[in-house]
Formats: sequence, structure tokens, C-alpha cells
Amino acid sequence: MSNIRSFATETGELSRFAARVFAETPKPGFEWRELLRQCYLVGNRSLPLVGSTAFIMGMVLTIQLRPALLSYGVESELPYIVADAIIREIGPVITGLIFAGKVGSGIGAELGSMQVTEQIDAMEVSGTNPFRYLVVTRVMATTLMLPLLVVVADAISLTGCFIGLNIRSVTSLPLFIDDIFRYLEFRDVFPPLVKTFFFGFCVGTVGCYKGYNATKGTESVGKSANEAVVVASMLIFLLDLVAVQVTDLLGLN
Amino acid sequence: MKVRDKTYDLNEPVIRIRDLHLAFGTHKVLDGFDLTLHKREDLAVLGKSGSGKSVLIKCIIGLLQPDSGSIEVLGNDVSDIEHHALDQVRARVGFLFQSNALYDSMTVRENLEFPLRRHWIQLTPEESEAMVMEALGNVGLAETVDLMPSELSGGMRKRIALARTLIPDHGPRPHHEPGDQRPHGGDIREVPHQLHHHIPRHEMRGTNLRKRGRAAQRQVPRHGDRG
Amino acid sequence: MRTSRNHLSRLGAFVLAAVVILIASLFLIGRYQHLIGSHLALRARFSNVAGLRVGNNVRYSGIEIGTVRSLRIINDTTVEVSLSVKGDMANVIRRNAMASLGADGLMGNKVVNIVPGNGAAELVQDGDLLASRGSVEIEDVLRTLSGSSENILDITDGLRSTVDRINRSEGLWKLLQDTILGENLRRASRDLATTTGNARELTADVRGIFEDVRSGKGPVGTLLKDSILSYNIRGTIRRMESVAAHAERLASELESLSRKVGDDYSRQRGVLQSALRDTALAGHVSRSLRNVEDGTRNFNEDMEALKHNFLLRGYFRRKASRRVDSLPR
Repeated sequence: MSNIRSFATETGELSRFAARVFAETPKPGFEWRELLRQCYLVGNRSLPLVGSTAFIMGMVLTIQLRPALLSYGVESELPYIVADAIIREIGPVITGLIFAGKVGSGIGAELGSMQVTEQIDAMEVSGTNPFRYLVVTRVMATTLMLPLLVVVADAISLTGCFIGLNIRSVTSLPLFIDDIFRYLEFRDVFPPLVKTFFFGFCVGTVGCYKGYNATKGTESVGKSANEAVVVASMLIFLLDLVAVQVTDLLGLN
Repeated sequence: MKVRDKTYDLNEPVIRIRDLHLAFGTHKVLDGFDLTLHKREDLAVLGKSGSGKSVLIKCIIGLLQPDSGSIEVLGNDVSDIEHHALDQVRARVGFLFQSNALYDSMTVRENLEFPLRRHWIQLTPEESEAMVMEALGNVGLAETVDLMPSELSGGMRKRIALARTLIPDHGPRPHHEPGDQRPHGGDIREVPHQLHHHIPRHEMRGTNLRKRGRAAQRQVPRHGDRG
Repeated sequence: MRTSRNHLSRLGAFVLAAVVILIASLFLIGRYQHLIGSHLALRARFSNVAGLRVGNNVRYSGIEIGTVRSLRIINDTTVEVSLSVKGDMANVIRRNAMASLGADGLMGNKVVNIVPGNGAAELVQDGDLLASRGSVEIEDVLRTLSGSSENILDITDGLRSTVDRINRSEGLWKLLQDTILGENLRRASRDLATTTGNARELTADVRGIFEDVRSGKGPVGTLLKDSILSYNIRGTIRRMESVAAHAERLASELESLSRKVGDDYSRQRGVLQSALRDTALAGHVSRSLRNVEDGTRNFNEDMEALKHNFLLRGYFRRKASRRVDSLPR
């Protein structure tokens, strides 16, 4: 019972935190420099990890799906099926989860240790709104960078798919591109792109919330980082579920 | 609320606290606390661990809101003041954190430049560089300007933190010292004295070591745990 | 300061790369969907579009040239289909081209095929209405095929009973003495042998086609995906019908012959000896009869197999229930 209650309280506080992000964002005196720095840290620094997993994912998916499609005699559809799976679901969700693991925990730990060592109070005293300087910039950075990471990861995944195809058979690049884009439609690309903005917002907000609300002590820093990953990953799946229903309602599936 | 001009009357108190109450849940940390601090006066607040020294100092700087009572800093009631004005009061108070609170993702230079980010402070890069180097020179650590806080020793970090409080240099300077930080290359207690000669200032510190209080001209004992 | 600028340029490179990939893929999708670049609007009217949907492909001589833009019901018997095809097709498609509906296999998406017409005509212009042609529906094909096979069954049954009667006819002995009649009979049985040979070939053809379908050369859908195959089926049916007609003619000829023989016998006009000596002729006749029987059995088996083919089972079940419905109570 008390668990349910604390869960509800936590949800409420997280929602209020997210609302505060929206409320604070349009205020004057935006921290552009810090935003760009965070974009670099959040985006570029995640690229090697996201890129290598995406590459492996695309290649493995291709090699594993090939026998099944071969038995139906539709091997020529393999690039499109892999591309659609990657663009619609695997790219956004896997990238989102890796992003939550890397960036969400990083933000949780960083803000947590700043809270514990009074750096956030020091900013407040130094006349800089720490919420705007730390939280708004990070949430914006994750919201803006995750979609870009997903786009790049999708492209890398499809490169992996192309190489995976050429391990067992020979497909030329123009034919591969034609196989994919012949059937791909805008509705295959836009809803996943839109949902990654929400994934990014969710990773940033949860990371900041957990870090910002760390209590005293180094133990709580680790806890913040850990909880940030768990909650953000959970929320990504929930958002994915909502997204698939919304796109279904809009007739975009 | 208009912030008063910094050329204030010598007889007027810098900090005046009246009947301050603050409780965390049922735990009463401050229960009717009074304090008056005058210009050119050093003050140490002594007390056992958990007796509310840190809470008091955070109330004075506006990081904590008291349940009742008034805190006047340079003639402005910081417990009942809008954010912009509070920021202007804070700009005239240096605050040294117990854990130094140096931003560990920034270099020493960026740490010292941080208080200069206040929107009403318009400085050229040369001016801000000069202020940073002057503050660092005051604590004898000018050579560390491009290092990260993690590359410094504990004592050096303490001095950098002190240098950072020197940057927006107006009004009293509460600092908060756990007393277990050994200064690097000389006693840190010398530094505040030394600073007296440079800049007219007010300083108060919370410390739980009575002998440390010697550096202060007056001591205010904080009695026991009240909760 | 220098590192921060370095970071900034790397961030810029990353953002640019992502945006370029996004724009390039959107452009590619747009090009395949003919939303980008010039396109030509054409229209065609059908009485039944058989599940055609917006976005289905349009093909010209088998090459994809565009998509279905919209479907609009004009009146109770006409649906107008708007097609969007590549702009450069305006230099290819002529006004006498015909639009027909087809499918990517039995289960696949519907497609609109534009087939060039015969002779010269002006090039199409934006918004032109193309003539349309009814589509080849698998049900129609099967209906004809099954009707034909029933006809053949009836005919071969008739044929067999006729030949039986000849066999048992005592008049035959008399008949065979008549040389003119003997010659006639020999020619008739030769014809019969050719006909049954044809029938056998045909049944082999039909069986071959359904073997292909059953053994799944490609997905089951290949049956109608390949329009050549559907033409083959129709050709086969036509040939089967002509054979059936032939056999029918032959059977009636034989019957009249046997009736004549019977008459002769009753009038005691015998030429039986020559026939009795002619064992070759007897063997010929009985071989022909066996051929006809074999052919008929094969055909029956094929039709049976066809009925059990899972794809067509539903069709035959419907047909059976219709037959039950139409039975007099």
C-alpha cells in the first residue's frame, strides 16, 4: 500500500518536474553555450556506442531473417523488411534504451553529485538559475539529439544489413536502395521520428529529476544514476506502446 | 523591492535576524534565533553537529526559507523578497560552501567566471580575466587557472572556492568551514585576515571547533540540539 | 576555449550528417511515391475495382510508373480510378492505351495495368480518361474450366455407351461384310483415335498447369501473377471445348452408323466376313476405346485433385452448396 502511494507520489513529482521544464524553457536568458556543450556531450559522445550496436543489430537481423524469407521465396523483400523493422521500431527503441543507459545514467550521476556537493546551491547563490542552466539545457539536448542519433543509427543499421546481405548473396547497392525505398512511405518514417523526440525528452527529464532530487551522500548518487536508467527505459517502452496506438488511430500503421 | 545602495551607515547592522523559526517535520532546528552583525565585525557561530549552523547560514543566503521570523541582510528581508532582488543581495554576499562546491566539469577559470554570468554584469573578456586573476592572486593560486578542480589538492580547492566568493565582492561574506581541510602552503586562517587589508569586508563563519573561533573577533555559541 | 570550438565543429558535423541522411531518405521516398517531380494524372473507369486501394501500383507494360491516387464512385455501376504516373510517361502512353486491373499474385496487392493499344494515336494529356478492360478473374477461368470438363465427361460417357452398343451389336457381323460401310467404320475409328489422343494431351496440359500451381513454383500466387499462365488456361479450355465438340460429332456419327448396321442386320444384308478377318481393325477399335476411357479417368482425377486444392476448395464448396440450393424440394 505504501509502495503504491510512494509510486503515485513519485509519478506526481516527476510530472511536476517535467511541467517545470516546460515552464522554465521559454523564459529569457537561455543558456545557449551550455546547450551546445550538452548537445556535444549527449550526441557525439554517444555516437560510437549507438553506431556500433546499430551496425551489429542490422547485420544480425538480416542474417537471421534470411532463412525464413528464403523458405517463402521472398528473399528479395529482405532489405525492405529489415529496413521497415529498423526504421519503425528497432532503431528508435534500441537506440533509446542505449541512450537511456549511457546518457540517462550520466545525467543522473552528474546532477546527483552536484546536488550532494552543493554545486547546485552554489549556482543558485551565484545568481544562475540552476534549473535553467542544468536541467533545461540537458533535457533540450537529449530531446534534440536522440532523433538525430536514431537517424544516424538507422543509416548505420542499414549499412550493416547491406553487408549482412552480401555475406550470403550478392546485392548491389543501387538494387538494395531500390528494394528499400520502393515500398517505404512517409508514414514509415515520420511517426518513429516523432516518438524519438519523446524518448529523448523522457531520458533527459528522468535523468535530471533523479539527479536533482538526490539526497545527501555518495550512495544516493549511484542510486540516482541507476533509477534514472530503469525509469527511463520503462518509460520508453510505455511511450512506444502509446505511440503505436496513436499512429494506429491516425491510420499510419 | 529596491535594493539599498551599498554605501550604508556604519552603525546600521549588516545582518539582523529576529525570532527565526525553522523546523524539518517535528525537528525544530531554529527556535527563536536572534542575531545582529555590524560592519567591520567578524563573527563565528559555534555549536555541535546538527545544531543548525548550516541551516542558519542557508537561511541568511536565501537557500532555505524560514517558517517564521525576519532576516535582514544589508537592509533587505531575504525571507520575503522577490527573486531578482534576492539575486542582487546574493551578489553582494560571498558564500563559501562546506564542500567547496567547485563545479567539477569546469576549469578553475570557468569556476571563477561563473558568478560573473549575472545578467546585469556586463564585462569585456579582458575585464573578467583581470578579475579572475586578481581573485586567484589573492589566494596565491594564479598558476592553477587552467586546471580542473579534480587536479587540485583539498586545500587548493578550498582556496579556489574562497577566490570564487571574492569575485562579486560587495558586502558580508559568510563562510562555512568543516575544519578538517588542511590548507595548502600556509594556514588558511591567514587568508581572511590578509583580505581584510585589501577590501573592507564582513565575514562570518560557522564552525564546530571552538579553537577555530579565535580567528573571529566575536563568537556566538549555538546551544545544543534543540530537537 | 579551443577545445570548446573543436567540440562545436564536431557537433555540427554530426548534426549535418543526420540531417543529410534524413533529407536524402525523405527525398528518395518522395521520388518513389511520385510526390516530388512532375507527374501526370490519368483516369480510368471500372465497374468493379476488386479491392483496389489508394497507393496501389500502376504498371505500364509491367514497369511501375505510378500509384493510384484516389477512387471515386461515379454511379451505381461505375468507379473512377485516378492514377498518378511519372511525368515523362506523357511521351509514351497514347490515348488508345487500355487500363485493366490485375494482381500481384493470388493474395498480393491489386495493380492497375496500362496496356498499349493497337495502331497509332495521340499521346495522352493530363487528366485523360483511358479505356478500361475487364480483368481476368480466377473465378471466371475456373467456372469455364469446370463447365468444359463436365461437357467432356458427358460426351465420353455417350461415346462409351455407343461403342458398347457397337460391340454388342450382332448387326456388326453383317455390317463388316459391307466394304463401303467397313471403310466408313475404319475412318470413323481412326478419327476417334485422333480425338482421344487430343483429349489425352489436353488433360496432360491441364494436369501440368495444376501441378505447377500445387508444387508452388514461387508462392501459390504465381497462378495468376503470370498472365501467360492464365492465357494458357484459357487456350487450353478453348481447345478442350473444340475437342469435345469434335468428339460429340464423332459419337453421333458412330451412333448413326451403328443404327444403320442394326437396320442392315434386320434386313439380312450381310458383309460380315471381311470384318471377321480384319483383326487389325478390331484391335484398333478396342485400343481407341481404352484411350478414351483412360483420358476420361485422368480428367476426372485432375478435377478431383483440383477440388481438394486448398486454394480452390472454397470455390467448389460454394459451388456445391449452390447446386444443393437449386435442387427441387
